[in-house]
Amino acid sequence: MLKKILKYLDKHIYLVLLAPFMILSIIFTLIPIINSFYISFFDFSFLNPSKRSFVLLDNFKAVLTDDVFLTALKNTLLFVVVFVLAEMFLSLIVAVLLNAKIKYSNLYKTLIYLPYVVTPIAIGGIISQLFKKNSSLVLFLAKFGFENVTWNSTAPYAFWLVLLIVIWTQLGFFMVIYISAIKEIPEELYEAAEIDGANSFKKFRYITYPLLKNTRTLILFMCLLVSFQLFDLPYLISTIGGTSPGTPNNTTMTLVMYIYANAFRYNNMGLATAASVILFIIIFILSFVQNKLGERS
Amino acid sequence: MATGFNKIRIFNQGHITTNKPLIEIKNISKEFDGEIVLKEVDLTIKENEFVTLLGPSGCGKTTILRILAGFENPTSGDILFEGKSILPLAPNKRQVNTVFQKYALFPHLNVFENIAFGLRIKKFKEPDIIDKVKQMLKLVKLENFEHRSVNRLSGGQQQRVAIARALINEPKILLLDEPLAALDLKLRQEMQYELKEMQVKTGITFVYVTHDQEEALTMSDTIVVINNGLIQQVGAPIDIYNEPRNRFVANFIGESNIISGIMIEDYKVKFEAHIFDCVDRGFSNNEKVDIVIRPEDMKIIDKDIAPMIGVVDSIIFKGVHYEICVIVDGTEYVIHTTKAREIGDIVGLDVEPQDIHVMEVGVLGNE
Ligand SMILES: Nc1ncnc2c1ncn2[C@@H]1O[C@H](COP(=O)(O)OP(=O)(O)O)[C@@H](O)[C@H]1O
Ligand SMILES: [Mg+2]
Repeated sequence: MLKKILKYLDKHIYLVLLAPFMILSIIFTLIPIINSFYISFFDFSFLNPSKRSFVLLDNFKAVLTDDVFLTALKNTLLFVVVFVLAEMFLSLIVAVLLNAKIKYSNLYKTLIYLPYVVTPIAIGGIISQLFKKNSSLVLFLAKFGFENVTWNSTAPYAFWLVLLIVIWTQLGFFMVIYISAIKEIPEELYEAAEIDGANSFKKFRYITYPLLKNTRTLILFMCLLVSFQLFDLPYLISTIGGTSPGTPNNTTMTLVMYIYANAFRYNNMGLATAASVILFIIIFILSFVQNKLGERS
Repeated sequence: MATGFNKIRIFNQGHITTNKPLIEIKNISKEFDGEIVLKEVDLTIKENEFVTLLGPSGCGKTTILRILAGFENPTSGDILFEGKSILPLAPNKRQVNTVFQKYALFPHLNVFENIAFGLRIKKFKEPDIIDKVKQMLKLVKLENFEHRSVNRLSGGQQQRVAIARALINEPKILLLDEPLAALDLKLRQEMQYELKEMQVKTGITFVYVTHDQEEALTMSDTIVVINNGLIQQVGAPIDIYNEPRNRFVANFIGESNIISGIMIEDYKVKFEAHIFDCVDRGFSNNEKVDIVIRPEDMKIIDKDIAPMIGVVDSIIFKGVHYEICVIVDGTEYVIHTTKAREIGDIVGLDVEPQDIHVMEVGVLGNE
């Protein structure tokens, strides 16, 4: 009997090896997901967890008719579009430029990568210092006609400020992925093209760019996932100085902020879970498409 | 003529190059971070010539090609093309194209687009491109492969695409860096033949790099033997084979018996305590020399009349011949013969005067 078990384990050793990770991800990922699907059909409050009533799709109805949710959705979509376009373009350009043999390129790479590894709290702190009332930056910008602007809480500047800062903090990460992909391209390909008379631009156009196709797809989806799930920086920036999340007037409210605020600030679990189910579905579809594309190439 | 050529196929007998110098490499030296890689290389390459740079790995062959192609600059010296220096010219302004060691095909393009690449960069018109690519596909025997992805080609086919991609630009000179090294023996021999055919057909000057002496002997009009960044000998395959200039060349080109001896006077050389007649002259009397004798030139004869006597130490059957190792007074001689012997047999050895090749001791190139 023991022999049989050992033999079984021997054959299915991967189960043993996978078990710790599987168990953890079941407890901390799968169960909460299922749970929030479940909760989203109830009227539920942390203040009175035992008293909950089944409301079927009422939560979804409430979410989809909630102006704040629709604003958050619209913000997030705009954010996603601009972020993805800007990040894909900038990270590629920066990677190609810094991959060329220029002086101090390693220093530049480090400087660009640095914000990515700095904790968002610190970034938020830096931003709050930079843009606090009468800081030198604010006074400097005032000279260009931006007088009396509180950058982190005036529409429409707050949204674009958040966007800019998130693009800046993430740029280094995507740049590193591009650089390592570019380094994989054999030098002889460029030499072969050079013999045929290709200049730097043509080498980029006909060799580097097409050969980065898979990397581009990867980065596209990573950008999508990052921007759909955006939370910490917009939350920190909009709450600088004690204002409420999404300040001003929910113009910096993202989907995840909406979920967080409803769940933990406004004690509105129904809205929060329904919104998170919607976000889950969006992310799930994205990951699914990405996996399918990955299998094909 | 030496009898040893039964193993070596020569494709280019009768193919005559014009005598016009096309490229003159003048006293080129190259250092990498203070390490000298090429030392005062001097070489003239003629129009329509098939020149092979032959030498062991690391001797500087690729570096010479890269300098010719324009990817490296020599530390000193000059390169003339039809009498004019090409050192200031960018790679694409030289009439040179390269077939890279690892093919360097564009993995995202199919066979057609790989070959068409140079023409597209130069903005040729579509009908011209189609025409020329078709011609090239025919030349390299890859008709009907144009829409194949290059990743799904065999090594030999990829090599053909690489050659077509280079030739379509109509270079005056094609540089080939060990193009056949990755192929198996049979395919390599086929491709050697085809490359030679292509070179004759197109009339393009080939500068071919290899570390394989048989390949060099088979294909070349001229072989340049290189060691440690120094040219050791330049010559036709037969001359290099028959008249190696020094121990290194003799060793590198085929198996040889290399013996120390003394040049008694013109046409008389002494080794193994016997004075042999030979055809060499011009050494000082009693000068120490190295002597090369090809295994197929050693004759086993009746020991009573032989100048050298030895004991058979080993015998290996090689198909066409036996390779016999005979020890003469402590020196080992390798002999190719069609008649088997027993280990331990006492045999007599002799060599014809014209098969004794006398070389100066320790001559390196450029001296
Ligand atoms: N870019 C380089 N930097 C430094 N050393 C080099 C470089 N290219 C070649 N070498 C050195 O030059 C020598 C000759 O190299 P190479 O021309 O590639 O030899 P081969 O092609 O005959 O094998 C080697 O010792 C090699 O290490
Ligand atoms: Mg090499």
